[in-house]
Amino acid sequence: MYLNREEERMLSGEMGEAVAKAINVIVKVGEALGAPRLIEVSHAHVSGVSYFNIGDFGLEFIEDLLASKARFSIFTTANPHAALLSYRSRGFDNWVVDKQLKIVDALRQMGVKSFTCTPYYVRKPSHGEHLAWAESSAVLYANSVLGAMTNRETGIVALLSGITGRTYLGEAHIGLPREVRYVVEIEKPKDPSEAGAYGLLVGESLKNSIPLVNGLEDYPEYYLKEFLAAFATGSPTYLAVLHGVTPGYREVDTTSAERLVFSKSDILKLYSEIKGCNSPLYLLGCPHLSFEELTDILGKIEGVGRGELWLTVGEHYGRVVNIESRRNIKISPGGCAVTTRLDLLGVDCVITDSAKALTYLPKLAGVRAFLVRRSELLKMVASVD
Amino acid sequence: MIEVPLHPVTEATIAKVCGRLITYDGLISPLGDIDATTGRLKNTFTIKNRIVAVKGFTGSTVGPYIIYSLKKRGLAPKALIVEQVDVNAVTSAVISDIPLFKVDKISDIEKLNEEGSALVCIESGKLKPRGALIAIEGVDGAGKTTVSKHLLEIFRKCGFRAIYTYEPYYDSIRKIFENKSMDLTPESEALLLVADRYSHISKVVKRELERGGIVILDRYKYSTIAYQGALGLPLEWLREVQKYLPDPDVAVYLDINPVEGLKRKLKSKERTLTYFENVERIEKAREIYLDMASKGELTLVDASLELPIVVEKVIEVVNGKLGLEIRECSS
Repeated sequence: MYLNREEERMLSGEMGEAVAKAINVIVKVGEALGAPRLIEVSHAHVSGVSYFNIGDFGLEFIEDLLASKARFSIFTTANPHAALLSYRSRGFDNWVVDKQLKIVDALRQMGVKSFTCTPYYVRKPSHGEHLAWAESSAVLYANSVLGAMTNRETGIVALLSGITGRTYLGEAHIGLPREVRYVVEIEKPKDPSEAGAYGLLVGESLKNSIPLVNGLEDYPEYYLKEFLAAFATGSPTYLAVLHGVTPGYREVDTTSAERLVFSKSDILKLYSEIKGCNSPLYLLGCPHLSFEELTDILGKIEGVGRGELWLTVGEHYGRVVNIESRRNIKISPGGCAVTTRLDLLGVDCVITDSAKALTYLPKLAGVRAFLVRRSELLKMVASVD
Repeated sequence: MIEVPLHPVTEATIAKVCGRLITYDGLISPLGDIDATTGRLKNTFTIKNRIVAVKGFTGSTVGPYIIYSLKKRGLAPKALIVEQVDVNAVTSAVISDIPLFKVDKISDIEKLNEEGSALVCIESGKLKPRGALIAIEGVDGAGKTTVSKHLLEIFRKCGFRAIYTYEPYYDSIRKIFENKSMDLTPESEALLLVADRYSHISKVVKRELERGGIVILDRYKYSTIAYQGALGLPLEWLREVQKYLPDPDVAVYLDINPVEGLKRKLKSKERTLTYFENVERIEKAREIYLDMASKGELTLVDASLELPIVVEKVIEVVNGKLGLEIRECSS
C-alpha cells in the first residue's frame, strides 16, 4: 500500500507507540481489502461501547490503548453505552455498572466528545467530507443523506482512525457508484416506523447490493434515519442512494437496473399483535432522537400511566432537557436500550417504533419486542393509566 | 509430501513457525466459539500455540478483542490460516500480532489432519507437514518399549497422528542375529543394523513424517554407537556410516543399571537372554550412552524410578523439545 511521508512516520513509531500500532492495523486491514492507500478523515465514530457487547476483552483493549498514551487526534464520537448508568439500584450488579463506567471513562479520557448513535446531530459532516464511522445506521445516514464518505468501519478500525486521523481508501471514499442493479419503489410511509419497516425489508431483500430508492423524497430527516438504520440492519452495504435526497443521485445510471416494488401490505407482517405484555417498556429513540423529535414527543405526552417510556438520546441532549416532572418517562442520555440486558431489569417486552430495535432487542437485550407506529405508541402511553 | 501454498495476509515475510495443526472447515465466531479463559475452540481442542486453519471469521466485531485477550494470556495460536479474508480476521491478527495467511481451499489443509492432527511448519509461503521423530534409547530392560507404547497412547488420546516402530525393523535382518545364519563380526553386525536402519527410515519413518505424523522409535542410531562401540569399534566410524540418517527431534536415554535391567527382563517373561544381552557388553554400552547424554546428544531420564514417573519425565522432555503440551489429555 502507498503511504505518504507523514503516514510512514506514524508507522515507524515517530509519533509514539500507540499511533504506530493503530496505523499498522489500518494499513493491514486496508491491504487485505485491496485498498491502494489511506485517506485522511476528519471525524471518527467508534462502535462497541456497551459492556454487554464488548465485555472484559474490549474493556481491556481500550484500557491498554489509553495506557499506551493513545489520544484521539480528530473529532471523535462514540456509540451509546448500555442504558444502565442511572439504574445502579435497579437490577444490575455494581460491578457491571463499574465496568461500563470504566469503558466510558477510558474513551472520554482519549477524547470522545459525545456518546450517541447519531453523531450527525453532534457534528454534521459536510458533503464530500471523509469520515471513519462504525455505527451502521450512522454510516448509511452520512453516505446516503449528507453525501459524506465513510467505509462501514468495524469498531476497532474506527477507534484507531480516531487516533491516526486515517482510514483505508474503500469504495465509499471514491464516490457514488456509476450504476445500480436495483431500483426500489416504496409506498409513501405515513409514520417514521413505516419508513423503518420498509428499510428492513429492502435491506434484507437486496443483501449486499446498493439500491436506488424512490419514495422518500420530501420527508423530515428522521424518516430517512429510520429507513436507513433498518436498511443497515438487513444489509451489509454502506449506501442506499435515495432519490431526491442523496447528493448526486441524478448521476447514477439505472437503465439496466431491476425494479422492485414494496407496498404497505409487505410491511404489515412486521406489526404483529401485542400479546402478553403486562408491564411494557415503551421505547423511542433507536437511533437516538433528534432535538426536534424529542421536543415534539414531550409536547404530546405529559406522563405514562402503566409501564415506562424510555427516550434514548445523545449524551449532549441530556443536559438540556428537564423531565423530572413527567411521570414514568425516562430519558437516557448517551444510553442505548437495545445493547442493555433489559431482562435483568425485569423487563419482558418492549414496544417500539423502531424496526432496527425490533430486530436486535430479542438478540441483545433478552426481551420480546413489538413494532408499532410512533403515533400509535404515543396514543398508547397517553391512554393507559 | 503434501505441501499447501499459503498467501501471507498480515506479514510479507515470516520466520519459520511450527506447531500442531487444528483445522475447522467452517466459519468461527470468536465470541461464543472460543472459550477465552482456556483457549478451547468449540469445546474441543485448545488453540493455544497451535496453527489454526479455519474457513473464516464471522459474527460480532468483538471477535478481535477476544483473540487479543487470548494473546495477552498466552493462549493464542501461533498462526492463523483462513480461506476467506475479512476485516475481523485481519484485525484479530494484527492487534494480537499473530501471523495470518490465506489458503485457496481449507479442504486442502484438512487432508493433513485426516488421521489425527499433524505437526506442521509454515515456511517460505508453504504449509508443510514436519512430523516429529522421537527416539527412545537405553540399555536392555530400561523400559524403552513400555515407555514408547505409553507415549504412543498419550499422543493418540490427544488426537495426534502417531505411530510406534522399532529397530531392527526387517525380519530378515533380525533372523540373521537370532539364527546366527551368517558369521558375524563387530563390523558386519554394525553394517547390517545400519543397513536395516537406512531402509527403515527411508521407507517407513520418512513417509510418516511427511504426513505430519509423530514417529516413536524404539532404538535408533545411538544404539549402534553404544552397542557396537562396546565391541571395540571406533565411535567415529559408527557415526560416519550413519551420517546420512536424520537427527531425531527428541532423543531420550532411559538410564538403568544393566544388572537391574536384565533382572527386569528375566522377570517379565520366561525367557533366556538374547544375543545382545550380555552384562559386560551392556556395561560398556551404558558408559557410551552416558557419555553421549553428557554431551547433550541424548536427554537422560532415570529409568530406575516407578514407571508412571519415568513416563511423566519423558513427556516433559518431549513437550519441551517439541513445544507441545500433551499432558492435558494424558489422563
